[in-house]
Amino acid sequence: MTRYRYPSGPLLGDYARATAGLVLTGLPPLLLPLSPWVALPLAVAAGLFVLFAARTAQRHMTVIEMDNTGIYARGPLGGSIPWEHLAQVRLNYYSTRRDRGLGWMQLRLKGTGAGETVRIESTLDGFDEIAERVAGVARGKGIGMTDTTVSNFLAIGIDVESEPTGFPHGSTAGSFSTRETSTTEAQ
Amino acid sequence: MLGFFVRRIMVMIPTLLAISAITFVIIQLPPGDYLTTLVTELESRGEAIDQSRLQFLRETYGLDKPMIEQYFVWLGGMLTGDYGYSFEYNRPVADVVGDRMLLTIVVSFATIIFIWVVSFPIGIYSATHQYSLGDYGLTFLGFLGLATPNFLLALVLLYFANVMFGTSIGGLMDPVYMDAPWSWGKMVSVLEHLWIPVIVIGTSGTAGMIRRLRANLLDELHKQYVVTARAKGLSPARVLWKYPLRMAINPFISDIGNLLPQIVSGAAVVSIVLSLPTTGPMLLDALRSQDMYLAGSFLMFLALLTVVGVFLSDVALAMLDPRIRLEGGANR
Repeated sequence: MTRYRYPSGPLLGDYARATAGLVLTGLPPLLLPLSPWVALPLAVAAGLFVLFAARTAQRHMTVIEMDNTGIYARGPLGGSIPWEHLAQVRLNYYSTRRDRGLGWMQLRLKGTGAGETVRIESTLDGFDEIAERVAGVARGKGIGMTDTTVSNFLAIGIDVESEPTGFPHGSTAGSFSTRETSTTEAQ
Repeated sequence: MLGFFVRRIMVMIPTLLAISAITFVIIQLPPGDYLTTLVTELESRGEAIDQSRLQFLRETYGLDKPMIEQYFVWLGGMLTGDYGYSFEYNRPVADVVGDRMLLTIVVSFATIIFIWVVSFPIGIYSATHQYSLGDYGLTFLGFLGLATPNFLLALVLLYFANVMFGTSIGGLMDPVYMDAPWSWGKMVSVLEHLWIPVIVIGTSGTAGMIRRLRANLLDELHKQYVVTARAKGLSPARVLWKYPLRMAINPFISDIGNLLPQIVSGAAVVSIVLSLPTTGPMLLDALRSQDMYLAGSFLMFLALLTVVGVFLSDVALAMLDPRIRLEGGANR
């Protein structure tokens, strides 16, 4: 069983963003008699910042665990997906810059059962390891992926379209060729 | 996506604040203020203005206060819905702009729809029928549209509309409806006049869009995956709609951010030629006469349109194609 946590640096950055956003969007409606045209977008934005703060706190408390049986997000609003239930893999890349640089990735996994959803952002320590293992399972199970997901996997050095090595085609989870399965703590 | 929204909003807020400060400083940069311009104008006509009255007006409008104080008063006013007072029109800015904003929005949206409806099929046709007679013809028309000055096209269309359809020269409606309340007749009159500014303003935008869509689509159509998809037996139409077109419209979508403000501000010259009761000519007048609150409100509105437009196009792009570009590089 390998455990992964979100490092404190990026989490602190997200807390700072949420606080700054709440101050900028929440204070003016409290201090000034704003026109409705200004107050409404600010209120919506303030709501988003509250959600973002809550999500950051949820990430702070979440531990991602991965072993030969599946991947598990332990914490508030957690989820778990046994490898044999893995049905959908999406790897998206987001950036706020016009040149699309300095962005982050989000790995979204869905299982066949209800509530079997796990979302992991690339700020997580050991994200590459998880992505590689997920790609291996997806390849083995023949799970279809979008063109965007395939490109994003390629960008982090994982070719999901190549023939799997050391992973019996069509089998479920278990035998990963390059990953160690002993108990290690990522953090 | 939540993280994306939050980070984008965190960029938008300081951007708007910075633009508001820069806008205010630029408006204040020319020597003097609106009252100085007014005095010069009166003196050139041989008239004089009482200095004490001048001082009274300066104090009333806060023109004697330091620039930073004026800025914060203006910014606070913008947030509370008080956009200041137009010296030129002797009315609150909101009242002055409100009359023309509706017609500006009508013209702008009609133009955007025109640009998209015309350029999208033509761009696809040109790319999928490269070097055909139709492609050459449409390319020629596109270049003609890019090269023709808008004001010239406006004059030509005005003449033909008058001679062939009897449409009155200039304006967005017949003179009888000018100050009349909205009615079915007034709406029909607006629609009768609307096509001229829409074609004039939209022509260059359409030509540019066609060229960009054609180039992007050609790039995609020449990629290996399209050849593979065709080799596997997919029909040309399915191959086109499935991937290349979706990739090719990315720059199309990212253009939304620039399209909105360009249409509002860039159509000023056409609006003057066509005597359109839109905001463009008013912005020009406000800048010329240093009607600072009116000009400032306009420029902030344009900035807001730009920032919101870019935000919308970024969100659309992030949803449609959340893909890394290898030249960019991701971080953790």
